Amino acid sequence: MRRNLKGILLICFAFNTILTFGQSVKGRIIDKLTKQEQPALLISLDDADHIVYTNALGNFNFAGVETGEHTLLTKLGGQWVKITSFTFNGGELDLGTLEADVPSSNLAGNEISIIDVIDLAGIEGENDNVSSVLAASRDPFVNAAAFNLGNGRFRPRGYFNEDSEMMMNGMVMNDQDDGRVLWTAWSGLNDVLRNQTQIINQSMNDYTFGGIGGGTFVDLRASNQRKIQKAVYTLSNRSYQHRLMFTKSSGLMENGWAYIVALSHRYAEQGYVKGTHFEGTSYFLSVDRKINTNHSLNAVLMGTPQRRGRSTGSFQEMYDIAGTNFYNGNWGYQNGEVRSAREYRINQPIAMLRHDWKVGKFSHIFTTIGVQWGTFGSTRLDWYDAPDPRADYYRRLPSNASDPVTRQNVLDYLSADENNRQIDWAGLYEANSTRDYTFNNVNGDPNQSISGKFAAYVLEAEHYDNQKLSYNSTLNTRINDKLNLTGSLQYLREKVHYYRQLEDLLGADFYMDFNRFAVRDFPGDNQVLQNDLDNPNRVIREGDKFGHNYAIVNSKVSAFGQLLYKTNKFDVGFAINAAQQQFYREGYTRVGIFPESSLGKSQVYDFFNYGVKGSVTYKIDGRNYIVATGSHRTRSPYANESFVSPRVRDQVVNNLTNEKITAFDLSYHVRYTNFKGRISGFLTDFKDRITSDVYYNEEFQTFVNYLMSGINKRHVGLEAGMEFNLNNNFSVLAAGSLGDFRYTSRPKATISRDNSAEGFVQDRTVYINNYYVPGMPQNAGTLGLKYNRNQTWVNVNVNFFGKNYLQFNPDRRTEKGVEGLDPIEQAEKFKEIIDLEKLPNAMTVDLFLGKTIRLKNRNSLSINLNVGNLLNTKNFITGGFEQLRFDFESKEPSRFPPRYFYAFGTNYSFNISYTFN
Amino acid sequence: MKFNFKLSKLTFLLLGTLLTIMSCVKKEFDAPPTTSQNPEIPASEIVSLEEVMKKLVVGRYTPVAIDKYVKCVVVADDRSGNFFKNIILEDFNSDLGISVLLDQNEINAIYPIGRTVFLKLTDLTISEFNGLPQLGMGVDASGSSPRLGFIPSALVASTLIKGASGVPVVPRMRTISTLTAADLNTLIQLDGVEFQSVTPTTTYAENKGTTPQSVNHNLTDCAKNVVIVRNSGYSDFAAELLPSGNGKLTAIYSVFRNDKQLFIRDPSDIVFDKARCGQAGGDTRITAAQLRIDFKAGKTTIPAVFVQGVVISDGSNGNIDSRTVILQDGDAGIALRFSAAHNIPLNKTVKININGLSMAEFRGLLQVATVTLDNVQVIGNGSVTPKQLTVNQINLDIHESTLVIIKDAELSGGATLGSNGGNITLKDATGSATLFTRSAATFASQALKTGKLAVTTIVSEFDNLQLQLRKIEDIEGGGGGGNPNPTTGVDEKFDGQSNNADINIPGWENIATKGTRKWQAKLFSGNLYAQSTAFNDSAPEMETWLITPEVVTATYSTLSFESANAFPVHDGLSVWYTTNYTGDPASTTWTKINAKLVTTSDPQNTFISSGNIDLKGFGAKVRIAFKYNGAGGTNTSTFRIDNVVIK
Repeated sequence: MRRNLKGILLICFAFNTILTFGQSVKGRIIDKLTKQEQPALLISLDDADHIVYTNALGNFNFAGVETGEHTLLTKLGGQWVKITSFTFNGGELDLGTLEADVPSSNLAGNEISIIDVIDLAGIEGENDNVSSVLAASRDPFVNAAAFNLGNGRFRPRGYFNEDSEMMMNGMVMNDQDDGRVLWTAWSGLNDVLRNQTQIINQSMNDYTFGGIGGGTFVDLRASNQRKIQKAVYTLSNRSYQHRLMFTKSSGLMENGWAYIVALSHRYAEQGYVKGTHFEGTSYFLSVDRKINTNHSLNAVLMGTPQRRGRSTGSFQEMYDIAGTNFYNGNWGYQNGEVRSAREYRINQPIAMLRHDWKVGKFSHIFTTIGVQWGTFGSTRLDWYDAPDPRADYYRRLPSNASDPVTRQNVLDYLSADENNRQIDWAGLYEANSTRDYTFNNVNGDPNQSISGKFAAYVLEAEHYDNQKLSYNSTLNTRINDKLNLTGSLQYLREKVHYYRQLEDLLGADFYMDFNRFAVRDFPGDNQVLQNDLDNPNRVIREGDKFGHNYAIVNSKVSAFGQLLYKTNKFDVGFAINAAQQQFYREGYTRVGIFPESSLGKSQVYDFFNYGVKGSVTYKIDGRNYIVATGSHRTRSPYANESFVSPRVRDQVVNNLTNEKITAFDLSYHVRYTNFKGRISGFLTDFKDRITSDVYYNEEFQTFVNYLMSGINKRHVGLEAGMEFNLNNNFSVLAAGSLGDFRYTSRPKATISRDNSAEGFVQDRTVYINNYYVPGMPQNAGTLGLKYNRNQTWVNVNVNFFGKNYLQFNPDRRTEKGVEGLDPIEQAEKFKEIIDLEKLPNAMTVDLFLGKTIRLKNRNSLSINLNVGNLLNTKNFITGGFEQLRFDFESKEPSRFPPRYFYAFGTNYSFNISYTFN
Repeated sequence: MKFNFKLSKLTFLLLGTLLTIMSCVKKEFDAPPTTSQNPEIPASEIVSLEEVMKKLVVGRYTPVAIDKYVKCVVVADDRSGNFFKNIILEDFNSDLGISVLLDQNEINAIYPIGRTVFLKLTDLTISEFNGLPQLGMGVDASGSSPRLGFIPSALVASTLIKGASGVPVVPRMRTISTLTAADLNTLIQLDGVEFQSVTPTTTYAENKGTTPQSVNHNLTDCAKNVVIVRNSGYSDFAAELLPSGNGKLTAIYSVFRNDKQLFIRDPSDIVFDKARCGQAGGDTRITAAQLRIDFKAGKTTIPAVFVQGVVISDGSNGNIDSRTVILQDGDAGIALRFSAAHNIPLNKTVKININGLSMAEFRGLLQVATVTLDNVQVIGNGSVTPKQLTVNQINLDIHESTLVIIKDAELSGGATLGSNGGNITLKDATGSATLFTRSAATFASQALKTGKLAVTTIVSEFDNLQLQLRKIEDIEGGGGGGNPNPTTGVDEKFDGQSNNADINIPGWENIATKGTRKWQAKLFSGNLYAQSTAFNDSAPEMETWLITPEVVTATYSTLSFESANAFPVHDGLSVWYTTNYTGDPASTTWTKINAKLVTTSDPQNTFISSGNIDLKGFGAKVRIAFKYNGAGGTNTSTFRIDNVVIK
């Protein structure tokens, strides 16, 4: 490793001597206070004729500078601030190290810029696939997409969570088995995560190849943050009610040390939705040691142990009965207290060690080793030989009764009392108390038997404990004034342990490790009903693992290289990436139904992936730019979507292939002092995607795995954002996107059951060519007015969301789905089955008020109020999904109605923040 | 500076305190009280079920329209699955019972037998289903004809209000002839009853995978009165054997049109521990060894006893007479002669009433005669480990009618097992004996295997010692065998095989020469085929052979088969022939056949036809082998073979 790097450096320096320098001005910015280099600062030469950002080392470079008088400015806290003036006589001028008074957050200087979109996500889906944003960038569109449009589940360009890369100090935080990011693992630590770089789409950057949607790089070094002490109290009605946050940052001290300590606690008896409690503590410690001018070390430990009640989308019928679109069937009263059956229990700390090395004047190498460990569980009720206890189980709904009088009886009953719509905890305890069972041959011992209260109902936690190990080395070097090289090497290993754990016996004596689904399919067969054949008839008690127990192990080695060449008129960048990815399943139990293919390590699946991307910027003049980018890459199928039924066996999808993604975009940027804006056209092609969904099938009484392969999509659209300063106090912001995201293939579906080796549907064609891609508004926009005077801010935004389609059940869009229907004679029915449901368009208004009071000794007090959905719109459906069940007999879509999620009504967060020395 | 320092400390203190307070918020929930008690419903609110029954109009769905309760107890639930979506309640205030329809599964978790239920009548509907009174809610018009609506699951809790549990449930004593309409939907008990026709393989119902069938069994008393016992194919006891004795039966009395029907709650409702009608006695067990001693002592009439043991004769292969059962009881055995062909399978533990029957020797073999099927009660499954003996060690007085294994034996005296009148010589180092095979045996035309063999056999007597095979697999090891003078070709679709079991076809060989894995039968989309795979194999190398019987190429000259693969990573399938099979694939000389096989470029899971292969030039008699080579971890491809035809 070390030798390779030396080799690369040698080549770089060789380049350095060959290439000649041009008419350029360069320099380096450090913070006046911390003396730290300042990456990602916006630097302007003479009123924004020339704008550049500083790189990771704080260096900037203007090419093609005319001779004469010049002023150098930087944008700090939303204002242009002069750094220095100088006279340029041609050739190469190095302004050397310059100091700027950079606030700890060099963003807009108020709390609005840092929010946790999870807090706003409304009612979550079963799969929380909510994109999260930590901070905004300086791009008006990206900013708006994050803060104003995120609530409506808007995803720029239709990109999902896995399409962007999240890096902390160089550690990749995307889970390898599904590409997603567990944002919760650092929630509540907003104040210490501000030192970050947003990578927009395919743009060149100093860290990584990035996803098609770019990514975020967060710098966690304590020495890179300003000395500060800050206490914040927040009152909110979103996911938590109270938040207390304390941050102390030492800045770089004279002895070469720096540290940050941050603690926060969030608590809610109930969030916006009833039954969603929250209790979480967050901690963060970062310690830096500057060894000498060339070497420094940084260690970070952070974690956010928490429990929170979940709400899952329900049926419109149930929302109507409950009289609120925020009905949540996951809780019930127990001894008069709200108890939720669906709770997240998360404790996944992260630790990392980073080494920074300045090699000569122009190169910087940093290396990070990071680990994440701990547990991640989601609780739910499980039951055996007992009725389904879920409050909004579809058979409990009025629509399930055919007699109109009976239907009214059910409606009256459910409407009469809140308890009738919630979990009957007392009933579950009561059922457990009357159970009298005897099992012989317990734990595989013929002489052992057990009698007693065999639980009808238990509370269990489904665990997905994720352990990560990450190694990353990144090199940035300036070969000459025009050419910059970035390269990195990365190794990732991740093991996700999937198992179930018994949390609460609800008053019963014991539970048994039986596969209750197999019991029905193979009555009398004592083999197949065992979840663990090597421990048959196992008695389980609280804390015991049971059911499925396996791990998915992923590892990846990747290399990335990038060259960036800048001239007067053109910036040209080119990057390549190569990665070898492999994964396998490791079963810890021999499952009764698949004894041959459940225990031990599966075959190892290997994938080679590559990516190339390029970007060309043409500078028409200092204010107008045209940027074209393009990329092509392959992506391994995610392990999560490759195994046919990983809970019980190690079979994978036939013909696993890499997904191919090709993306182009063309942008026009304008940057005047009072007006900046961007308009982009984009096209992204996804080919050979695989998806996998699991659902419980009433007919087969088992879990069914629905796999689709060969999914192609094309996302085309326009996005634009602009900010116009009307005068010193008022500015107008407008941003929006028009998208056309469609499927461009007919995927093949393979359906298999957990309880049968028979792939009972193989390669069923799904007719969705030209269908819209669901799950996000394809059109969205916001119009905002900002007022800013004397440290007082008022922002009002009006947001619009449209062209959002409901997540659909592919099985309805098959030959079987419409079998026997005449498309002309029964056109209405035909369309009812195959057409996508378009969700209603929606409009919301957001308000932000902020005031900062400067106190003596550079202390300050900030107060702000952030109100979402000011008009209290409570019928804004942000998403949902059709059930994967379909009644092929009656062909009646309403038999299994969809579940919807609604955006919160008026929600607020009120912050008081005190900053002191 | 000092002030700030203080403030910092203060903040820490404040924060610490708040964190402590907040962290202490309890999240452990108390368990709610679960002592089940009756709700406080005044006696004036309770009516008798008789009031409800008065509303019943045949052919109508009548709203009960009484705003009161009936206090009842659950007497039958759905725990075993014999009742589905209904429970049976008996009234505390009358002798009546009722069937209540609920749109809910696994009702027993909430309403187990013995639970008091206050049935709220307000919204209920009463009707009759083919003669049986039922309570439900509303009318379900969604089907082709209207029916009584089920109580929707949301309303179960508010309609069947839970009361105290653990109420003793006592059946009413009845006889078949005294069952009346007043007993409908109540728990009754009949004594001295038995199933009219029950064989050792009769099950409660038919549990056939996806299409279980309910089955009616006639129950009779000794006076020949008959009532139907109906069992659901979905019940968890559907596949269990029906008891064959006589005794008491507890059940819910029901009716379907003119048929009186009984529904048991689970098999513990049947206690048939007595002898069947007309066969009193037989309550005492006698051992097979004792029977032999008694016979030697001159007692030929058997007293009131039964004999019990494991069946070691296999009638299905035709080598044992269809009317004979050979029963091994410990180290001794006894042959029993039936009045008619029986179908008692191998390895069943049976109890046979031999009260009053006689014993006699037939050409030296001691037999009990004449047994009828009524005398047999199957208790369960059993097995016998054959005793290893040399020919010389076999003593007819001790070992007659038991299972033995003779190792290092050689066969001679005929081309096939059935030649020479079925009398083949079995010889080991200590001596020789006759191995007798009936011409009716399915394996009579199998050629003698050569070399040293391990032979499992029943010790029998036909004037002298005579050994009898149960099935061809009783001869293990050696070479040769198969079809020496074949009159058939091969047409093997593997449909007679069991999924996930090693391929086992008479005349075929399935032998692992490296590793332990053999060719297995696999089921996919309803098709059975032979499959071999090294995937997940722990052995370093795998080589396994599937070899057809020998065919005469003059008559059967065209070979065709289909092959398919899955998860292909290597070429592991090859096809061979030999004219001189030694019994061990490793020592046999094989010649490779260039047949069209599936390749890695073919789609997976799709069978590729080999086309027709002409065998004429290969030799007069050939055997074809499908060989799989692989290695767990590296060469793991799965190969499949189906529809092997030589014609």
